[in-house]
Amino acid sequence: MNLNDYNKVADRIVPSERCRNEVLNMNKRRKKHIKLNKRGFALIAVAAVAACGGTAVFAAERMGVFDKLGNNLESSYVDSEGNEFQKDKWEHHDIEQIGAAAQTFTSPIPLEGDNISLTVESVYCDRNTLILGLTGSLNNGNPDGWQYINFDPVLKMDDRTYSHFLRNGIIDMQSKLYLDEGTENSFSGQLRFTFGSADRINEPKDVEFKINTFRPSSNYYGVVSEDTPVIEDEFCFSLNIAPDESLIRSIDHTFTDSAGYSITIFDITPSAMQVQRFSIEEEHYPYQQENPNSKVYEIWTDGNGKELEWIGLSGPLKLEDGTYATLLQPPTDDIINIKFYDANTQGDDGEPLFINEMTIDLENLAVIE
Amino acid sequence: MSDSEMAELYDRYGSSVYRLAFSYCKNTADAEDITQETFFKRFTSNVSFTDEKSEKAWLMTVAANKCRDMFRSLAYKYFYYSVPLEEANLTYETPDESAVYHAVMELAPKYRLVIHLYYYEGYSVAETAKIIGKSETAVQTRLYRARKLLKKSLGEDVSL
Repeated sequence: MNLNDYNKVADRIVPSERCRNEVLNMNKRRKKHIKLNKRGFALIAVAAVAACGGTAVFAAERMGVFDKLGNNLESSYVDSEGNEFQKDKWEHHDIEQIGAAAQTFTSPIPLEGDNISLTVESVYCDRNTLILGLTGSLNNGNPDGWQYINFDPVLKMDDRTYSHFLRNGIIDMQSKLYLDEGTENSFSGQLRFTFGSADRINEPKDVEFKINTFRPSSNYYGVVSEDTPVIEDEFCFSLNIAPDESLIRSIDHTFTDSAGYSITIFDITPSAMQVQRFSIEEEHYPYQQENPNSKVYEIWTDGNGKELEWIGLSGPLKLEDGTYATLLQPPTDDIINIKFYDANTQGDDGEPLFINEMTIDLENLAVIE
Repeated sequence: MSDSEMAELYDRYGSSVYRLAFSYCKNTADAEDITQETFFKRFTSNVSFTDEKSEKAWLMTVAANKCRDMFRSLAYKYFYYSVPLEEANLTYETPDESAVYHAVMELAPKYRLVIHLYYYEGYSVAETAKIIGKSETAVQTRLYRARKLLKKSLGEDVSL
């Protein structure tokens, strides 16, 4: 363990294409800047409210919360100065696939607070990932036009507690509501936990939830000013969560091409494809053996041409055998193409050097040569 | 400066400026803003450089100053405490990477800055001192304290 570990993570931090575009267009348009919303808003500091629901059951039926969430993530809004922002450009999960697989509660769970009202509409659980689909509104009608509401979730299961501050086996989490398109006070969002291998939900479990410290904001990051309220309503409820095994497509196969390049795919769910990246075992790369200063990375696309984005995780995904995996967006068909590049070497076109390509067929579990 | 010159400049130094800003701000939105402001200053300043190293050092100095300016604002202090690092969707391939990166990012900004410039960018103590506008002694002191804090946080397994 040394600072080279810091350097490796920093190597992967790159500015977005949007940043580049804005830098290069600044002379024409000066920069866009996320402005703090400093309009007046009475500070909300109320006594915590505990709304308790019983154990709920759910039925296999789709409801619209994920549709609205998907729309929200792709939509943009214009702030008071006329700057346009995409609501969420870092959500890499395929909400459409998740929504299609989610189950809707026959009796949605209402959570009524003094300042905010929520409804737990639906649930998705594929063993590794647990998502609650939430809708809500501010009781004051949202006169300040907040675009987002962040909140702090705590989850308790098998006597273990999981939260932002007590991560235990959580490798990723998201807790945010987004103002629905075309509305003034209707929010849709998610509470998502992604567990590591040791903590995943393999069987039906009673799960206790506590959510509190709601922070409305007008920008994705929850930037707040001294006038920004913190809504201190608190909700507690419990659910019996059963993993939907039918969502898990087990692959557990290592694909190796004739040049010796190989990748492993473990399983595919609507939330993610779990794979073992080649770069974890760098000494196995033939190219890297010959070019020790290289930095190989892969770009994955499916047969429909959709690039499968890496799902950024806040911690490593350790497998039972001690090795590490990571998550990608799930493919939309059985053909997957993986292109390997060396980030430390430029090709003739000035881009990272292309070094290999392999195409695999999940249906036949074979490399297409 | 022509569009192609601006693009070349950004492509050469954009990632370095952005990483420096991210190491200080710990969030993508501010790091992008700092990057934009840094390059805006470069594009609109009548400065010339004898070599690429000097030009990069100038950009890093501007970025570091802008980071400090932002951090001094009250609003940023609220922001700093409210945005989890996880929002940036960083990826870690080993527990060591996650542990070391989080430990560095838990340090005070002034320590993160010198750690990033010295260990990641490979600047010498003298070069780091010039970029952040402090004495070499101050940089050495900050590096010493930062390493001490990291050892305290990560345990004796860490080698610095």
